[in-house]
Amino acid sequence: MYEHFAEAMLGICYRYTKSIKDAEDVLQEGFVKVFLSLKQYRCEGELGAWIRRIMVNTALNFLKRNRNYRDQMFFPQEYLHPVVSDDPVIKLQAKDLAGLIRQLPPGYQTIFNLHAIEGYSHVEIGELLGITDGTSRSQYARARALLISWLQKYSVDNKKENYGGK
Amino acid sequence: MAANEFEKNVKKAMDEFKLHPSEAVWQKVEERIQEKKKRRRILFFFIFSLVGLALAGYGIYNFSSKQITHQDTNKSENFSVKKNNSIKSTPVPHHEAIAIIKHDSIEKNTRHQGPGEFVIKTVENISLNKLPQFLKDGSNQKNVAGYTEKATMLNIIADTISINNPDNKTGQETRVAKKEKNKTAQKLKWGINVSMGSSTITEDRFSLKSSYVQADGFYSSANPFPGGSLNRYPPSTNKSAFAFKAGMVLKKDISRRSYVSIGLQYAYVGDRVKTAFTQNNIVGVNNFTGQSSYYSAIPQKTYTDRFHFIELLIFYDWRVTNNTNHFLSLGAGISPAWLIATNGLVYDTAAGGIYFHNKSSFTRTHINLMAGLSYHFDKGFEWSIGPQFYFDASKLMKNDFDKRKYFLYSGIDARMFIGKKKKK
Repeated sequence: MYEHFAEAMLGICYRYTKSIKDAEDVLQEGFVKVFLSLKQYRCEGELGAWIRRIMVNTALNFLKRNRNYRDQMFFPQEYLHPVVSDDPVIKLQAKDLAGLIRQLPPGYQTIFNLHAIEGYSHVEIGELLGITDGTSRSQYARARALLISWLQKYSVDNKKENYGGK
Repeated sequence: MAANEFEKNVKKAMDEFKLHPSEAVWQKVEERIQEKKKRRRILFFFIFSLVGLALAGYGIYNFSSKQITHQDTNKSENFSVKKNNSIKSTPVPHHEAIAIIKHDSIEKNTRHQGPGEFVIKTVENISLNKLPQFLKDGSNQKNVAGYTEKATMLNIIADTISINNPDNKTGQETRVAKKEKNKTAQKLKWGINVSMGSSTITEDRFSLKSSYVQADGFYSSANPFPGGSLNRYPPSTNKSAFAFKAGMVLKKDISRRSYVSIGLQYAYVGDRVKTAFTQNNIVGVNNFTGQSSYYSAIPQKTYTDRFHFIELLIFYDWRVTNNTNHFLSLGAGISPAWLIATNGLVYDTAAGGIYFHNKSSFTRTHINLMAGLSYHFDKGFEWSIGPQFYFDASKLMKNDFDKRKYFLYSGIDARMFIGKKKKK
């Protein structure tokens, strides 16, 4: 089971953390929980989805516990302003995209991961992180705008590289 | 739409995103799972032991209380004999005197043997003014004697409270029972138990011999490797190793000559075998598992197998000698034990004879039978010291290739009981 799921789960942990070491710590913690609570898995949904949920919750706990992340979780509203431009993507390697997501400030990063990738609603995110759904919405909008701006920049830089810097 | 498209693309890309974790992650996961399982087991064992101790303590305490109640019942029966005669109508002013009256004549606080006499036996010290008036007054002797002759040799217990006020009888008896109960509670004593000695693992149950006493050498057995010229090393002779046990005990006297101890203790036991240095090749052993690290069974250096147990003690001591201040006692008991950790090696015939680590090859739950001799003395605290033997009645090794099966522990056991010795 570990061999089957470890790589995908490390991909998830990687998106929530800032270093590969932290990601592996979360993965390790998550798999310990998975194996110790395997009896609680009722075979109702996909095993992968169940493990994924445990990994996400473990990652969130890790962020709350770890001061480096906790202190930077949420920015004041005026810190960043959403970019209006909305140019959807952009062919990008998955690892590069994950790398860009990891460069988001921790609060944005977490909310972006939870909403855009895991599919949590803002109300659920509010409950998970102890914030209002409005805060979740606004932080998500800023995270998204920031990411798009980086993607655009990345795209331009890539084109320059491809055409010999012209 | 564009917005949704962005999220879709990101989600798709991220769902496919995978990273290969380092090897250390799985090792740590495995270690932590084992550790957590071990903690759970230890916790369960402690809870089980504490519940066992509590139940045993409650049982002993209650058993003693029943004996007291039984004695009280006997007293009440005597009392009921008395209740049927006319003495109970005699006014008696005091509340704490208990007297046994036999026939014919009365003498204060004195017991006389022989017929034709009254005997007054005070159960507790009773002053004269606590005695019923008719017992104090010599002039009434005849009347009383006259009555008692008619009473025909009945034992009479006069409880002055109950005579004056029958409703108080129960209260009085309860107080007496409570006093007795307190005395019983005082008889329960906590103590510290420490034992030091040596242990080994024997081939046969209740045997004093180590296993494979003939081994410790390179020998050419029937060649296990077809076409080859390899020989197989047999399991090493195992030798005894230092061992100790320490814990707490609760002692309860159950008769004038015997007492029971119940306790919880940590035990460190082990044995020594000879192995060669570690090999880091993968080898398949006979239980079909692969071992990536093992010791060749070539007898080059001594390896100490260490085993850590938590043990529950139930021990019975019987005083052999008559002196109660310093005496010898014989004891026997049973001790369920739980293996909590070990670095023990297991022998296997694979690869020319190897030793390897495999915790699942050891039985976790053990039952020890104990026997010992103790010398008891009083030096401020009650002490007992003497030799003690633990024979493991349950197999240690699940592996059939390793003949070391039963633990044997022998050591000097010392106990110190907290609280001064009761004056006899």
